[in-house]
Amino acid sequence: MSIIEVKNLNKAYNGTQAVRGITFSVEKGEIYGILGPNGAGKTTTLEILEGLKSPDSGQAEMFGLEVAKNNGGIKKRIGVQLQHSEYLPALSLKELLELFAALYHKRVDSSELLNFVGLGSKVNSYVNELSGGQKQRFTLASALVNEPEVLFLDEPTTGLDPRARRDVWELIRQINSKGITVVLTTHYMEEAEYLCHRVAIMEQGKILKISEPKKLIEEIANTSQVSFFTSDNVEESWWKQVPEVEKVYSNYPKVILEINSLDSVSKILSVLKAHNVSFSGFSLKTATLEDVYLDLTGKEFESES
Amino acid sequence: MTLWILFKTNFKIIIRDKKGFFWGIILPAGLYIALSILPVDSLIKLNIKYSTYLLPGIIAMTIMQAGIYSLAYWMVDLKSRGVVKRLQVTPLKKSELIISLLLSRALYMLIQVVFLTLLGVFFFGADFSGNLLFPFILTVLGGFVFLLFGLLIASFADTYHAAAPMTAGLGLPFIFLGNVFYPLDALPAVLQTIAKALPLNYLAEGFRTAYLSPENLEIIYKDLFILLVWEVAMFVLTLSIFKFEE
Repeated sequence: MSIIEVKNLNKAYNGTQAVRGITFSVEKGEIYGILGPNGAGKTTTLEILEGLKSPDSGQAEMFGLEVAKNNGGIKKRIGVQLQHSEYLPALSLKELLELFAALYHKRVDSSELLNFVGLGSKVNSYVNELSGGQKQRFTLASALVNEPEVLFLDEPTTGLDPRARRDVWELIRQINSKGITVVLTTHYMEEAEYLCHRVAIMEQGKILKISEPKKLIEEIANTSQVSFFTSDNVEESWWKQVPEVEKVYSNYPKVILEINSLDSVSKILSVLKAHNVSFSGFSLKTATLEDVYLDLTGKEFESES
Repeated sequence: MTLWILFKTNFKIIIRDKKGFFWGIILPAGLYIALSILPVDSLIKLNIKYSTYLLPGIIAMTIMQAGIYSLAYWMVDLKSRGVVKRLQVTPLKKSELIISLLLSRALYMLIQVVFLTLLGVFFFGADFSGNLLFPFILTVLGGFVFLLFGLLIASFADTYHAAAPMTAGLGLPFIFLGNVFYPLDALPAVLQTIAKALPLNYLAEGFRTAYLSPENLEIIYKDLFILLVWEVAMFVLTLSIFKFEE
């Protein structure tokens, strides 16, 4: 039995269908990612599992219990990091951790926990004295006070610089190595590729595909991507002469060609030259999750830095 | 145990907010001083010094304001920043949060009451019967009523902007009809009727009786009873309206 099972979950929120009949399951001990752009419905899905929102229809089960009916019992066993975490004012990190632990009727060795997330020297500091990365690590710590079985992380590294991001990734891996199941949402491709055992690609309330990141990429690994910018007209028929071009996506002013062989690059350039196309930003990319996304939706993934 | 830690923590927050702590005492004190110095005696016919009449009124008003204004704004701020949401994902129950808020702020109100009383008695020679029990009960009971008003407002307001008219909309009429600055019979009959439906009137009367003539037990018990009724009603109302889960 999976530790989390979701079947045909539906939720309308703020006038739109945020979640449209999604089905997925999370196995104990894995790091499971829900990848998708903003507005995909990732946060809403997580909030339903965390007990913050109730589903309109469908099933959500955790630890074999129905989430909507066992809110209290489930809350004791999970840890949550919200997208924007703010804390009660005027309390030190130590005091906050002790408060959170008390809410679970537990005691916590706050120094040890803060040490674990690399904030050992900040025991008596206040949250507003921390940098972005430190605050995120503290939020992780606060989600661990009750030694949860499942940890929910909503965009754990958004807004962090690359160094801080790596620190948080390492922490997540360490946490997972203790046997804690991690469910995270992200709109960073690299994050999903680096961290997740499996990833569900979500867009506009629906799950498009679920698999291991490596497998997803391998399925379209035959393809690399050529892209360039042009304001000239580019006809799809031109590419018929270049059989290695498998798909063409036109997102004016960007043109993206999926090719299955790098040999075709010179042919592509010849075609452009023959038709007098002036272009810029010619680039070549080998397959990543972004290509999987493109493949599944026909749209380019708008990542945010 | 959770309740105790929540109470302790909330009180720590109140104390560490040095500005809030300070102004919460200085402002009502300033108002009391200003009004006691002015020749109000010529405007309002009383057979006692105005500073004596005013002290319990100001105390009741302070409790009302600490309840409605400061808790409403504090809670709205916390809600809008997502602090409450962060607490929502824990096993914390609504009632535990509310009760700890009520208790910690009532403790601060006791501090306010003590300070104002000392100010009135020693600087303005205000009469004070020395009865400690009734003021204590009145502070807690009355405090709870107005704190719950504040929480109720916070349930309806998402921002300061939305909260402001609600707090003023309640606070101002309360003050004018609250038996704080002048007796109710100075008001036209219609307003008197309205005033008698409001809790502040009874809190002020309770304090005034406790401070000046605590032997009038029936009046005090009546006031306590009415406040208790208000409190139960407010507690039930707030508990059901204050949104914790969606």
